[in-house]
Amino acid sequence: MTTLAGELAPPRAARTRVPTGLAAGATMLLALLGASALAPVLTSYDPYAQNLNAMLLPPSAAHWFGTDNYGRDVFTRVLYGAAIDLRIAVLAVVFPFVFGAVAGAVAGYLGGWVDAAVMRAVDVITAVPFMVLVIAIVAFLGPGELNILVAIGVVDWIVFARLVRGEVLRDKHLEYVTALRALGFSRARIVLRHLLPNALPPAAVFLASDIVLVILTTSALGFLGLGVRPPAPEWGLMISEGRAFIYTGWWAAAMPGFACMYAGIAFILVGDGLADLLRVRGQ
Amino acid sequence: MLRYALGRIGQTVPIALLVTVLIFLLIKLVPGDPASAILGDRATDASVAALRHQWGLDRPIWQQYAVYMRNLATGNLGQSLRYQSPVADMLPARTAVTFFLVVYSLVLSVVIAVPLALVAAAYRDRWPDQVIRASMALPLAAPAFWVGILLLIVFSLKLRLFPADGYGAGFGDHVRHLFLPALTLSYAFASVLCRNLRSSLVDVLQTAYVDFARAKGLRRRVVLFRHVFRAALLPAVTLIGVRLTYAIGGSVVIETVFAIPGLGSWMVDSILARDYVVVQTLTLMFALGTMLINLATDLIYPLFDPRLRMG
Repeated sequence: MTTLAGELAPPRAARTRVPTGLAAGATMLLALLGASALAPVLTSYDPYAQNLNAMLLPPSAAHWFGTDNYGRDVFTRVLYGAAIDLRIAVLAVVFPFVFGAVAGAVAGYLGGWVDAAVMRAVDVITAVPFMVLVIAIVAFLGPGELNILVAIGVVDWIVFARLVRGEVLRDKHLEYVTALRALGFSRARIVLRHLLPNALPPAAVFLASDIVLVILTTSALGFLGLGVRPPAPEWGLMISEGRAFIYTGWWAAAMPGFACMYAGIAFILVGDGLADLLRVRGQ
Repeated sequence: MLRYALGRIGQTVPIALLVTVLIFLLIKLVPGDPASAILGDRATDASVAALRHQWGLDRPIWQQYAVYMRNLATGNLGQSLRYQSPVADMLPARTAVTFFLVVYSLVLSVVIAVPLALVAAAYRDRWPDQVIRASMALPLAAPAFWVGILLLIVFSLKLRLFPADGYGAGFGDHVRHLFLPALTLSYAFASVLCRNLRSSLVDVLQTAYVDFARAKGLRRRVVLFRHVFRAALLPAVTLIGVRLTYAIGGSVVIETVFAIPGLGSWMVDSILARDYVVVQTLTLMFALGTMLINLATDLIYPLFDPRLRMG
């Protein structure tokens, strides 16, 4: 939506203004990362130390989020857990983003059998629901952080490939590409140095929602007992462990979920903000 | 129309064959030898060799795939090591449960999303719209299984309105037992559907024919339901197909939360028991179900859109 005020404002100002959502999301993320890094200073509890005299204590001044069935401080574990969940979330999207973008760009530019091969692979992976395929791959590989990264890597690149391919198909007949070809540039150089960077914005915007998807997937795997192994304070695993005690201590399962939601909202705000920013630039 | 339908079906067949290759290869991901992994430490060399032979693991890989396909074609979906019974025997009952759950969640999503989208579009950019949009954005960030646990705490432990788990017997009992799981599964879909429906409603509200209908003196409600809503529903049809496949994926986790005896909880149980054949077959079933839904969506869509029927 362009408002009258927006159109009258000098373009320079429009370009440098950071959307409120983006700023809010980035602040939320920095706060979480900061709190996680400073966890040893912020809390005096150990995320692993069991205290059988303090089992399932409700939230209080001493234990902000209460304690779990082993007497461990839930707030402390949520903070330490942020390092695990966010690390997996960010690492897991690196390969899908890079591989998907390059595969999509090459397929879109070359066309022919390369395009057919890439798109058939995309079709096959699309045919299996995301969650089912990730769970199945982890089931056969075995649980653990590395296997989560592998499973998501195999499945998740297709979205980026589709997005980038679409952009490249639209751009490849533009004059600048013809000019580059006339100048005798190699196909690799045209695709990787010129078409790919121009095709990236939609994929970059999707990256934020994809990180949310990975956070939810990682916690779901942890919940099913297929993810990070206990006693690590991974959020999904904590929810799973707290589930057995919802009669006596709902907080042990509830609190890590709020952390998940907080991180998800932060990334969604960043993604929406980025999308707004890129739309402004595009105009 | 017939040519379109046949062409679309023709595209699905090779993809389905490639999907069987992908799922056949899954078992190769097991580190080491699947036969000894399943039989455990107590296994003798002879029993491992026997199982390898039974599964055809001692043959070249293309022959293994041929055997796999021949078994599928003859309805032999493998043997569950855990239950010592053919997978095909347990499949119909389990499938019915998951089907019930997924369709139920779809119905709930529509019931939740449609009124909210109508209100949001009618009050565009005023406070009801903003409240609805903000509250519909929240669920996208929450893990579904966690929402399920919260619903469980509030509605079955504290308020005792719904049973905490199981499937029940008889239709009415199923509806009661599956209400919380279906609600859990539906909120993410309701959120996407509501956003999508609102924006297409807003688009349609700005068209000239809506202005004309209003100028004609038709009441606001008549315009909204008879003219705007019908046109805005179209994009939602495709969305429903797409989200159904998400619901199938989500059912794996949700069935585990609520201990519902469907395909998803069966898959998780089988993974934990290393019942690899069952996991493989269920993955295939989920994939085939998804492909059928996608195909059905593409075939149904022209029926809703007169413009496509002409062409």
